[in-house]
Amino acid sequence: MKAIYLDTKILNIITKFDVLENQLLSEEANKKPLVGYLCLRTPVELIEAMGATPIRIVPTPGFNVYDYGNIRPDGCSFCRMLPSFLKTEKYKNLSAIIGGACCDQMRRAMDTLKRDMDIPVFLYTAPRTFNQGTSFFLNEMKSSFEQLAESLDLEIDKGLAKDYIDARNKLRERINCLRESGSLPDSLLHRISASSLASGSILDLLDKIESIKSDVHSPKIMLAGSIPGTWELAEIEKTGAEVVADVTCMGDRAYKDLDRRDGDPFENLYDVYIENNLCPHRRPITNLLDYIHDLAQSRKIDGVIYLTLKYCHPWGLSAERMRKTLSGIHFMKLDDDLTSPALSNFRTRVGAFIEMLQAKKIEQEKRAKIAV
Amino acid sequence: MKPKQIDYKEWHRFFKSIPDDDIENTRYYRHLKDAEWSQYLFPPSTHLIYGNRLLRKLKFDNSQASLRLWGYVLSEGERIFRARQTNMNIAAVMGDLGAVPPLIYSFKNVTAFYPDCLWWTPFLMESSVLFDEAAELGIGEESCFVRAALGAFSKRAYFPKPDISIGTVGATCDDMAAVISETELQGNKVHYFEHPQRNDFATDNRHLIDFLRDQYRQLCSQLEKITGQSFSDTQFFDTIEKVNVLRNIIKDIKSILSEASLNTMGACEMMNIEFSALSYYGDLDECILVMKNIRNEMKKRQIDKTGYDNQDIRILWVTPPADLLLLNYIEELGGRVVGSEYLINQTTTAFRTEGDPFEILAENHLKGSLMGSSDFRVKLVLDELERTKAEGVILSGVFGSSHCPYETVPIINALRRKKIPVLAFDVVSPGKKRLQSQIFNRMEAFMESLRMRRVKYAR
Amino acid sequence: MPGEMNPRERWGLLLIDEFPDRPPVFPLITSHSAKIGGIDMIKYSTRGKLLAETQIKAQKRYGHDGLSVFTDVGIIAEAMGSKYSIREFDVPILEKPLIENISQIDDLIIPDPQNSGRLPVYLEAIDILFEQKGDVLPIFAYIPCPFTTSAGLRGTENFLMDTVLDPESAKKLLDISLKSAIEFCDACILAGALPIMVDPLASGSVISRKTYAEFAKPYQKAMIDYLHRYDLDITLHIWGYF
Repeated sequence: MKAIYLDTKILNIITKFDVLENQLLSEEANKKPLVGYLCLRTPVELIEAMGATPIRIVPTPGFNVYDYGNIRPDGCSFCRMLPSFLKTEKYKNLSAIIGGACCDQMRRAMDTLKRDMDIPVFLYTAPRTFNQGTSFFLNEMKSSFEQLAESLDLEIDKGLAKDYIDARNKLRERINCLRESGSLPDSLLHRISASSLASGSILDLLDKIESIKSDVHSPKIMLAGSIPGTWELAEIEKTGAEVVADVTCMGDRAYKDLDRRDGDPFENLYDVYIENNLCPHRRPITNLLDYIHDLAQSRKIDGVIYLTLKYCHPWGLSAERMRKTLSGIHFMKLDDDLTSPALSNFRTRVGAFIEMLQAKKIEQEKRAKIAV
Repeated sequence: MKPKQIDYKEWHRFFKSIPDDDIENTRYYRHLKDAEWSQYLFPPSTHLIYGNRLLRKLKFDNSQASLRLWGYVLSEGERIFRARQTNMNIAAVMGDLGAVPPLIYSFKNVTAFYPDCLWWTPFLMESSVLFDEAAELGIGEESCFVRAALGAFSKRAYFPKPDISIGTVGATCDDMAAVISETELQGNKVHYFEHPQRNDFATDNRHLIDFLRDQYRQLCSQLEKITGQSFSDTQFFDTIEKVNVLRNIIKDIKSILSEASLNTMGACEMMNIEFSALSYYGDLDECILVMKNIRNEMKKRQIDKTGYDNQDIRILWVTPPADLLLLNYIEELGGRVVGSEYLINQTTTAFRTEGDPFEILAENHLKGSLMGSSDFRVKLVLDELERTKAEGVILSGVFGSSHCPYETVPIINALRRKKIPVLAFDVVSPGKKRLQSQIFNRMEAFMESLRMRRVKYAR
Repeated sequence: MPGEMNPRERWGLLLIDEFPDRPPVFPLITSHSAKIGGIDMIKYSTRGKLLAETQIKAQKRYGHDGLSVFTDVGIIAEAMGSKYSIREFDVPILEKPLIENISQIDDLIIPDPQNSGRLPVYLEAIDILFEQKGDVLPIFAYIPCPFTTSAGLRGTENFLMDTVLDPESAKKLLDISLKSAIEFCDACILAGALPIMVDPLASGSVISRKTYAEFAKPYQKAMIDYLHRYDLDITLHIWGYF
C-alpha cells in the first residue's frame, strides 16, 4: 500500500525528496554498487567509505504479500516479507546485503536470505548487553564489513570514513535541531532514514525545503514500536496530529548520538551504532525506557501511538512495560501486519484517539484562558 | 511383570505392593540424613491431588523405575523450596537450556533450576493461571509458552526467590528474552549471559569459544560472590565427571530405545529423561541414580525382548511438545517414539575432562541447537533420522515462538527430499479442546498414512 | 491482580512449610452451600452435580480457599446397608442401623464406591469440582472414620455398649469399617479430592479417653498411615469436646 498525504506541504517535500533520490539512484546505478542494510546497527559510513551506496531495506509499496517463502505466518511480518521487499524495483539492483544481528527473528531472517539469495549476505553478531565483549563484537563488525568490501572488490578507506562520519554528524545535528523545533515532519524523517542519499545531499535538500511550523493546537504524538509499514504514518498525520517524537528505528532514535571524529573510525562507529544502540532487544531494557521517558517529557507529548508488527517480539512483548513507563500519558497500542493491513480499523482507532486528545487539548486551553 | 502403559488408577493400586523400604529409602538430598520430607517415591495420584490434573489422562510405564522417575520429576518444585530451607544457594537459569548448570553445580551447596521448564506446568495442571498472570504483565499469546515462567516469578509460589538469576540473551529465543527482562523489572536481579551467534559454515569458531570462555569467567565471579566460595578446578572436574556419567547414561537409554526390538519405554518418560540433562531436576547425584535405574530396566527389557505391544510405527519427534498428552496419543495410535530432537543438543555430548574449565564449558555451549542457522537444526534432525530409522516425523511447534517460524519449512523440505512423511502442527494451550481435537485427527490420519505406506512398500 | 496467589498456590506453599501471601482460610462450608445455591437438603445430599454447583456458588460468594464435598457422617454406613433418612431441611440421620445382631457383622461387605448408596454422589461432585476448579482450588472430601461408621452400622448406643460388653465384635466391625473407609478414600483420591477424616462419635463429648485409645485412635491411625504412605497431607476433624 502506498501512503497518501493530504497535507500539501508534506506532499511537496516528499515529492522533492523522491525526485532527488531517484535521480541519484539512476545516476549511480552503473557507478557504485548498491548495498542493502537492515536496521540501526549498521554503520552506513563504512558502506560509503568503501565506495558503495547504502540503501536501507524497509517496507516498500508494491511488494507481493503472498511471497513470504519459507517463513511461517507467525514470524514477524517484516522479517517474513523481506524476500518480497527485495524483489521490488527499489532493491532489485542490490549487490550485497549486510546487517548486525539484532533480534532473533531478524538474525534468522538474514539466515534465510543467505540461503535463498544470489547475492552475498553478511550478518555479524552484535551484543544484547551493554559494555560486554567490546573487542569481540567490534572484530565481528569489522570482519563482516571487510568481507563485504572484498566481495565487491572494494576497500574501506579510513580517511573517507572519517569524512562520512563528519557529514553524518552534521546531518544528525541538523535533524535534531529541526525535530526539537517541530519543523521536520516525521514522514520526511522516515524518508531520510530510508534514503540512499549521502548526508551532504540530504542537508542541501533540507536547506531548500520550506520548513514547516508546528501547530500549537495539534496533538503532539510519540510514535513507538516496530518499523512502520508504508502508510501508517501518513494516516496518523492526516488526522492533524504531529508526530514530534519517534522512537521507532526510522525516527529520532537513529540520530540521537554524535560520533567521535578522532581515533579509529571502526571503534567510533561501533560505539554509536552497536554499543549505544537502544533497541528493545538490548538488556537491560531500562536504558531504552529512560530514553523514551525523557524524550516524551522534552517533546511535551500528549499521547503515544504504540504500533507493533504482528509477532515482533522485542516491541510487542515490551508494550505493557512501555505503557507503565509512560504512565500519565495517553497510550494506544495497535497491531499491524504488513501482509494484511487493516486500514479501516487503523483509521477508526487512530482517529478516535486523536479526537480524544484534541478535545482534551481544547479543554486545557479553555481552562488556561479562564485562569488568566 | 510384562511392560505396559497403565493409568494413574492402576498405579494407585500397584503402589500398595511397593515395598515400604523402597519408599523409605528413595530420597533426594541424601546428604541431609534427617530430612523427613525428602522421600519422593509416590504414585501419580498423589501429584494429581495437588493440582496436576493432566495425570488423569496420561499413561505411565508400569515399572518401579518409571515410578521413581515420575516421582523425582514431579517433586522438583518442592525440592527447590527445600533447598532454600536447608540454606542451599539457588540459581535460576534461563534461556541456555542445559549449558550453564555444570558450572553452578561445581560449587558446593548450590542447586539450579530452569524457570523455562515451567512451560509444562499449565499443561500438567490443565490451567491457564500462569499464562493469565503473564498476560497481565504484558506477555500474552503472541509469545511461546515459556511466558509461564514470568507468571511463576510474579506469583512467587512455584519456586523461591533465587539467589542469582542467569539470563541468556543473544542468539536464542526473544520471547524468553522478553520474559527475562520483565522478571528483572519486577525486582529479580539478573546476570546476563551473552550468547553469540554461531556461524555453522565457518571452519574455525575459536573466537566464539574465547568469547564464551570470558562469559563463563564472569558468571563464575558472580557465583563466587553469591556462594562465598572460590571456584575450584577439582570440584569442577568432579562435577564434570558426574555430568558425563549422566549424559552417557542418557545416550545409552536413547540407543536402547531405538535399537530394541520392542518399545522399552514411553515417550513421556523419555522426554523426562532427556530433560534431566538440563539441571538434573535439582539434585545431580540422585538424578544419576534415577537414570541408572531406568537404564537397567530398559536394558533388561531389551535383553528379554519385552516391551509394549502394538507400538510398531517408528516416529521421530522434533521439538518438545509442552502437552504430554500428544506423546501418549501417538503411542495409543501405535506409534513408537524412537528418537527426538528436543532443542537441547548442548546437553548430549560428554565434556572434555582436561584443560581450562571455562574453555571446556564454552566448547560444549557452542553446540547449542538454537545458536546457529536453521540448517544446523535440519542436520540434527536428519542425523537423528538416520540413527533411529524412523518412518515418520512429527514436528510440534509453538505459535509465536521465535525459532519455529524459521525452522519449520526447512525441516519439512529436507524430510520431503528424503521422502520421509512429516506431520507439523502447533501445540495448543490448555483448555482449547476443539483446537486440540483437530491435532488428534491429524495425528490419526498421519498414522494411518504411515501404515498404508508400509503396506505399499512391502508390495 | 498480578502477584496475587490463588488457593491452590497458598495450600501448596503451606504444605511444604513455606509462607504463602496469607494463611488459607477454610471455613467448613458444607450443607450451608445448599442454602446459597437455593436447593433443599434432599437434592444436596443425593445429587452430586447440585452439590458441586452449590459449592462453587458458595466459594464465589465467600472467597474461601477450598471446596468441600460432604453430606453426612453416615455415608459409608448407609452404603453398607444402614437406612438413613434424607430430610428436606437438615442433614441425613440414621433411621435404622443395619446390624441388629452381632452375627450380622460377618455378612458385611466393603461397598463399591462407584455404585453403593450415596457414595457415587460424592464422586460425581468431586469429579465436577476437580474438572471445573481443581487448578485453582483444592477439593476436600470428608470421609467418616471407622468409629463413626461403626456407630452408624450398629446404632450409637449399641455400639458403645459393644465396646464394653463385646469388644471383639466391636473391633471386627471397626476392621471392616476401616477397609470400607480406605476403599472410599481411594475412590475420592482418584476423583481428585484430598480426604479430610471426620470422626464426631469419637469426641470427648461421647466417649472416654480409654475408649478412644482402644477403639477410635488405632483405626484413625491406620487410616492416616495408609494415606501418609501416599504422601498425602491429612486433616482429622472431630466435632465436640475433645
